Amino acid sequence: MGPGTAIEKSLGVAALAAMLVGSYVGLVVVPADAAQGNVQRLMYVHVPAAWLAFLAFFIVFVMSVLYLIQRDERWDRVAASSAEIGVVFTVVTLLLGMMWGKPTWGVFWTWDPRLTTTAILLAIYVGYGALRSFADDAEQRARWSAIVGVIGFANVPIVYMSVTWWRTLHQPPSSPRSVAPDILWTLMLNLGAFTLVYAYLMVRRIRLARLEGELEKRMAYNA
Amino acid sequence: MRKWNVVGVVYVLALILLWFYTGRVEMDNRGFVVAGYGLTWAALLWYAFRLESRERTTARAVDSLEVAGTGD
Repeated sequence: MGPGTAIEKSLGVAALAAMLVGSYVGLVVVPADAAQGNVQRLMYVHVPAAWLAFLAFFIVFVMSVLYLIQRDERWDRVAASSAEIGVVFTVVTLLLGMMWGKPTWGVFWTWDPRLTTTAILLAIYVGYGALRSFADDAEQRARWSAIVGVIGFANVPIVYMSVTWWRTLHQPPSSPRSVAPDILWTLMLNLGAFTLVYAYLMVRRIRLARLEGELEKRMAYNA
Repeated sequence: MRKWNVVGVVYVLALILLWFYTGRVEMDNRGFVVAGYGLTWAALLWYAFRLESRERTTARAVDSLEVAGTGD
């Protein structure tokens, strides 16, 4: 597990255990949906992945604002780490949506507003990562990234509201009143598991960002 | 590295087990269900592996510059 602390290792074990339990309950324990059948089981990983992507980009937004106010490189490191993990969750969300879409809608992909805005969201944060790799100067990179991190977040509420504003193929957002109790608690269980995974990956990614910053400084010193 | 080899083997075995389980209970659309869960786990495990690998490489580079810097 690398040079992590006991707390970090415990977090990793808890995340793994929660994911195992969440997947087991989603695949085996909870009954199949009456309308959609077993393919609805994908909801227990698709929806938490989407929520965690939103959370990750919200953290990018908050850290970007903090960076622009305080110019502290620690906020930039957290923002960059969260953006990268958010991209992973967005890719998972889109791929799971395609797996769910094919048997439900008959197509893997359609230019539905929810799918399109999510694809744009992915493009924004892939662009955020690309921007970071182009800028050589650390201060300039952090400033540009923070600006993209603030502006880019505007798309998150658009993605969320897209199913309400434009009623097309994608189903409206689930709420405790619209889903059965066993579906709801399975969803919450998996949401908890994904949150632990996000927390664990953030601890690891922030440590890597700190190391990368150290390497950059030493390279500049030795040049 | 050996830890990740074990993780890879366990992952493949779990996927095979899941495939047979979904077949035994005659789960409809089991290809999509197994692929979806398999993909989620693969993506998260791959990213965790990449983080560890990148951290090891970066730490080695930092250490090598430290050694080079000592002689200056």
